[in-house]
Amino acid sequence: MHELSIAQSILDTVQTNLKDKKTITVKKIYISLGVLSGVEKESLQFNFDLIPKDKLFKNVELVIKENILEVYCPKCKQKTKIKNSFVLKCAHCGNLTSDIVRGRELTVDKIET
Amino acid sequence: MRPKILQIRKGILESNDLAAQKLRKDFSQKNVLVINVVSSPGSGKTELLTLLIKKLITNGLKVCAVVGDLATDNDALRLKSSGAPSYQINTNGNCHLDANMIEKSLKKIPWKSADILFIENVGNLVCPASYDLGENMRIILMSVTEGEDKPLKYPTMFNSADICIISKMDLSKAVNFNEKLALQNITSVNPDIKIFNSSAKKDVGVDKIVNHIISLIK
Repeated sequence: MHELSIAQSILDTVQTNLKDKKTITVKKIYISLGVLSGVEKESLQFNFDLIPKDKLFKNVELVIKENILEVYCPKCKQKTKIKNSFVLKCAHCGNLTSDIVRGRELTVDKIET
Repeated sequence: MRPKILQIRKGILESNDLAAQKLRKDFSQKNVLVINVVSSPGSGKTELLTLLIKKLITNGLKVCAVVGDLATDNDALRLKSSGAPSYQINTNGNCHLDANMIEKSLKKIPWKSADILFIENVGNLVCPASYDLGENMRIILMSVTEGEDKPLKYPTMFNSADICIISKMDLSKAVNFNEKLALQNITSVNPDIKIFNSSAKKDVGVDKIVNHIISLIK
């Protein structure tokens, strides 16, 4: 539901971090999206294409890298990749852990001009 | 011309995060405990907060509240009945509160002299999860009528909270609420969360929450 404002924030983030805005056009924006970021990939892509853009972002493409959930277990000191669920359970010892290593990302990584 | 790659490496919500960090600093300078209260619509946030605030005031604490809704000032009026200065933020269709909205709303309430500021977020279990409001603590409400699997359906929000309050416990028999299963689901997506049971209508379990909040201040 808030993917429209996230889409706008992506453009704002790129814009504020660019020095040379006059002579370039941004062709691609690469972002990382954790499954626990609260942002839905398909909806973000849809809303991103929808919002009006100025010359700097003419025909820009959004490239989304989706990060799966990964937790660290302090008990057995191992990492577990969690797929198709959000239950934070260590696959090695069954312990529940709140140490999330990956999956919360919501970042603009790089751009292509 | 060959494509050129520029590294950015910035949080998409950086501007909100920066505004929230500034708020957090201001709150800490004035020694105000700020609690962001989230839930789906109709879980009983306003009902619980009205009673909770009344009890906190009886305990000698100064409390302020801001509440976000898409429209109407109904909830601010209800919160005011607790005795706390309360301000309604209308988001005009926006599904969440952000740090800038909070900053603006602070001009309308005497938060600097308060011990606690409650922020009642827009009823929504998705969007408010991503927006830091500069709070010290996030409370999520889950009413017994919503189904025990709510945490599994909305893991991001449940994972982001410090406290979960299971509300409307007076209805648990009527809806055949399975408390054990609910607790298991809540802790499976957030093992560190602290859980309380309550019924604001019957004033059950609310004193425990009051005592917990007081213990955080002193």
